[in-house]
Amino acid sequence: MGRQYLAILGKDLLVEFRTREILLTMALFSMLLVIIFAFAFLSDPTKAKDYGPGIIWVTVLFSATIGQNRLFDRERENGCLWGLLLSSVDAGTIFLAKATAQFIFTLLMELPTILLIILFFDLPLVQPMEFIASLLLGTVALSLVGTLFSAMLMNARMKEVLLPLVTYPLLVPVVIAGVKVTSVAVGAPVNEDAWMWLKFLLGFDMIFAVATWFLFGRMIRA
Amino acid sequence: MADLALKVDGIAKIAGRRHILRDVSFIAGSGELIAVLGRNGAGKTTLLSVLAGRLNPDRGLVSLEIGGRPLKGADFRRAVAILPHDLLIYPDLTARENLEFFMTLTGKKPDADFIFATLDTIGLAKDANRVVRLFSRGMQQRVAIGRLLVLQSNVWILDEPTTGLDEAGRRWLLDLLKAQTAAGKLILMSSHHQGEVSAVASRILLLDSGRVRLDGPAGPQGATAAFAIMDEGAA
Repeated sequence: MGRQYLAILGKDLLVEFRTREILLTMALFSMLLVIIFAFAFLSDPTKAKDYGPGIIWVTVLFSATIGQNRLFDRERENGCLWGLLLSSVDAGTIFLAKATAQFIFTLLMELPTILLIILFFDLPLVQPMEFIASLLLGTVALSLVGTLFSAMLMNARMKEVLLPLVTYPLLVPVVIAGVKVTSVAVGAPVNEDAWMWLKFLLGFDMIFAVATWFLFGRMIRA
Repeated sequence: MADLALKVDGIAKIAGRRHILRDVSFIAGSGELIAVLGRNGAGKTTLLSVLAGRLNPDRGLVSLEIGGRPLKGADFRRAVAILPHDLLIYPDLTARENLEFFMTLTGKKPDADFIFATLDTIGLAKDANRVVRLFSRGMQQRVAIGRLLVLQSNVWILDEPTTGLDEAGRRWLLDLLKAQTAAGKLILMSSHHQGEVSAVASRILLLDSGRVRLDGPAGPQGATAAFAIMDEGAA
C-alpha cells in the first residue's frame, strides 16, 4: 500500500510541477483576493487585527476550492481513473494519495498568500505556533472534505458551482475555528481559548478522516 | 502460467428499457484468443467492460479461477487488464513514467531493465522520455499496450486494440497477441477486421443485439462465416 500511495502522490506532484495548472490558478486567485481585500479594508489599519483573521481564512477557503475543482480532472482525461480503479490498488489508498496531494497544493498556495496578508495588513504574530497549528489542521480538513466531494462531483455538470455549495456548509466550523485561533495568534482583543479551538479542529480532522476515507471507497466504484 | 478459467454465466445488462446484453454465457481458458464480434451496438464494449469489472452486470455472474482458486476483489483486478478506447494512460507523463507508474500500482518496484525492455517491445525506446500528450494516436496506443505488458495480468481484454496503429504496427500487435496466448494468457478482443480475426483468433464469439449468436472456432473459415452472418444482418 505504501508504494502504491507514494506512486499516486508522486505522479500527481510530478504532473502538477510539470503543468503548474492547479498551483498557478490557486496562487493567482488568492493574490487577486488579497488585493481586493487590501483595497476594501486598508482604509482603517487600526482594525486590521479584527478583520485580518477572517481575510486569511476566506482567502484560503476560496483558493483551496479552485484546486479541489481540478484535483480529479487529470483522472478524467483518457479514463485514467479507471486505470487506477481497475488496478489492485484499494480505493482508500487512492483517496489518501489524492488528499495528500491536495494538502500539499493548498499549503504551497497558503505560504505566500498568508505572508502577503501579514505584510499588507501589518499583522503581528504573537502566538505563531497556534497559528501554524490551526493552518495545518484547517488545511487537512479542507483537503479531506474537498477530495471526497471533488471525486463525487467529478462527472457532474456545473461541478464548479456545486462543489462550494456542498463543501462550504461542512467547512464553516473549520473556518470559524481557524478565525478564532488566528485572532488569538495576532493578538486581537478577543476572549477565546485557542487550544479549545485547536482541539476542535483536531477532532474534526479525525472524524472526517475516517468518514471521508470510508465514503470514498463506497462511492468511487459506484 | 497456471491454468485459468473465466466463467461467464447468464449476464445481462440493461440501460433504461434497452437490453444491451441478454443471457450471455461462456467459459474461456488459458491460451485462448477470443474475437468478440458484432455489428455496432451489438454489446461488445459493454460485454468487455463487464468482464473487466468496469461495469456491474444487472444479472448473472463473472468469475475467474486460476489454478482452481477463485479470484475476487484486488486479486481479480490484478489478474485482469483492459485496454478500452480511452487508453487509461496519463498524457502529461512520459512513456517511461507511465509504465513505471502502472508497474508500481501492481505493488512491484519498477525494474529499469524490464521497463526498458517493454519500451523496446512497443517500439518506443527512443521516445521513452517524451510526454505522451505529444505522441500520435498510434504511439499512444503503443504506450497503452505497454501498460498491459507491465501489469503482467493473466487475462487481457482489448477493445479494438489496433485502432490508430499503422499496418506495421497492426502486424506487430497481432504477433504480440499470438506470443502472449502461446505463453498461456487468455485474451478477449473486439474487432471489425476479418483479416485480424482469421490471423490470430482461436475462437469467435459473435454478439447480435446483446445475445450470443455464434460461439465457435475461428481460423479463416470461422471468421468468414461470422462476418457473413454480420453482413447478412446488416443487409
